[in-house]
Amino acid sequence: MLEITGLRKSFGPLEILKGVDLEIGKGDVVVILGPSGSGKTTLLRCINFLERADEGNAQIGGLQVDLRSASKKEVHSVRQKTAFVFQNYNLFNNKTAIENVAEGLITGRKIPKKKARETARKALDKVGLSDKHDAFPSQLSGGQQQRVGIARAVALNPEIILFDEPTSALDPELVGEVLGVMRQIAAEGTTMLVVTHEMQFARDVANKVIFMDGGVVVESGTPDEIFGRPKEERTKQFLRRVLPEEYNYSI
Amino acid sequence: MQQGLNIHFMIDTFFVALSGVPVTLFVTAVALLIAIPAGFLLALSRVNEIPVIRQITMVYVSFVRGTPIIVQIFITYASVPLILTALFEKYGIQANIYDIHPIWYAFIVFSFSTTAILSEVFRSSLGTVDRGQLEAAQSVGLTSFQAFRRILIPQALVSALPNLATATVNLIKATSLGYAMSLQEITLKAKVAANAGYHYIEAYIDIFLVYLILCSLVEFAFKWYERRASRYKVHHA
Repeated sequence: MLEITGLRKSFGPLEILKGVDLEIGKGDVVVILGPSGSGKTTLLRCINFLERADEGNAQIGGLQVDLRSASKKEVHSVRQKTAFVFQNYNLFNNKTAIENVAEGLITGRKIPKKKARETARKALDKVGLSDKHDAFPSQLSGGQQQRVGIARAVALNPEIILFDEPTSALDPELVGEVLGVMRQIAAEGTTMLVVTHEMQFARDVANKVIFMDGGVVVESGTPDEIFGRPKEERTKQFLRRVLPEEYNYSI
Repeated sequence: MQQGLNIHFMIDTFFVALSGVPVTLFVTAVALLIAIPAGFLLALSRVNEIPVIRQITMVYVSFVRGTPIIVQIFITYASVPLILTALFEKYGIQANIYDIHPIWYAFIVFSFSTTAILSEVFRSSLGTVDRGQLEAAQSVGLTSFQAFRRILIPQALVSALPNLATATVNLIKATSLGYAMSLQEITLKAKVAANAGYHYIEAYIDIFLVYLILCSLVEFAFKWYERRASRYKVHHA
């Protein structure tokens, strides 16, 4: 489904990704954990060409691309197969919720307006915003905006949705509603690659957890393996820092 | 010499000045129609750091901003006929340069200077649109061109509106300098009327009022449009 090999990326003298390999199957929910600065977000952005990698290959839904030198056309077709949910939502400020969701369908995919709006309506209903179709982003709370962001991604029916810390910019009491929507679409079999700091979500929803540090994948496995029996010292240290005491006892 | 203001003359001349409004508005409209797209393209060349065009734009902008419009008018009015004469002679075109209506020179001068001003207005307004908007548009499969047209430009235009209003009002006022090339606009018409009876103060008050009314109306129209165009910025209760 998605396969990344040898991904490298530097910003100036700073090497952020030092050769990352990754494999995701259809219907997988993969969570990437790691301290800040470990390259999680950059990894996601390189997959969607929001950043150009210095080196690396990707195979996305049967399409083989060079992440460094992909042509405009290849970039476009990768973006047609993927969708991105941003940390700070990045909804189109000049468009209503339903226009936000329909924009990619109408302008990007040339789907007839009426059909696109129908798809958009269903996607918004799915994320529990059936009463906010005509609201502008400035009229929505952070949690509602992020749910529109997820609806915008879901409506494209992509092969994979990339989530870049989707709850990090939210007030604590709004995190739940967004995670709830993510659980729901995961349960429907959507392939997801999620960068998050929500450990409970990783435990409950992911079928694979990747721990990154210093630009490399340190360890990967099932949530039980990573949370219950981490092999690497760096993983253990990280988990000790981020998990509340009780988890360490209950394990 | 007469005592006090000649109210009768003032009222008559007010309508003379008013009859110059169509020319003033025509020059303003043509200058804007040329300067808005041209200024926008130049702004894009600077935002996207396109080599050569970007440097030329920078020199052009500082050239326009660093010289008074009246000097630009003198130079254009003096040099364009010379250039045209040379061209006409070279290609054997039979035409009298001095038959060219001064309004054509006005179009050239005011388009030229307004393009420079608007390229700066658009450059700063494009900067106000968050980079994430472009990324989000690309991530849902829009090309850069579509992203600019559908998402970035509409937002940039809204933030450009206040400056665009200022530039338009400045342009209307600047067309008064057209009298220097005998353009039959508000100022020239009133001044000619004043010459006849030495009623300068009355004529100047008329000119003052006509510009004040005109510019206020334009400003009001921009305010109204700005409110309409920025509906999406309503704030959460």
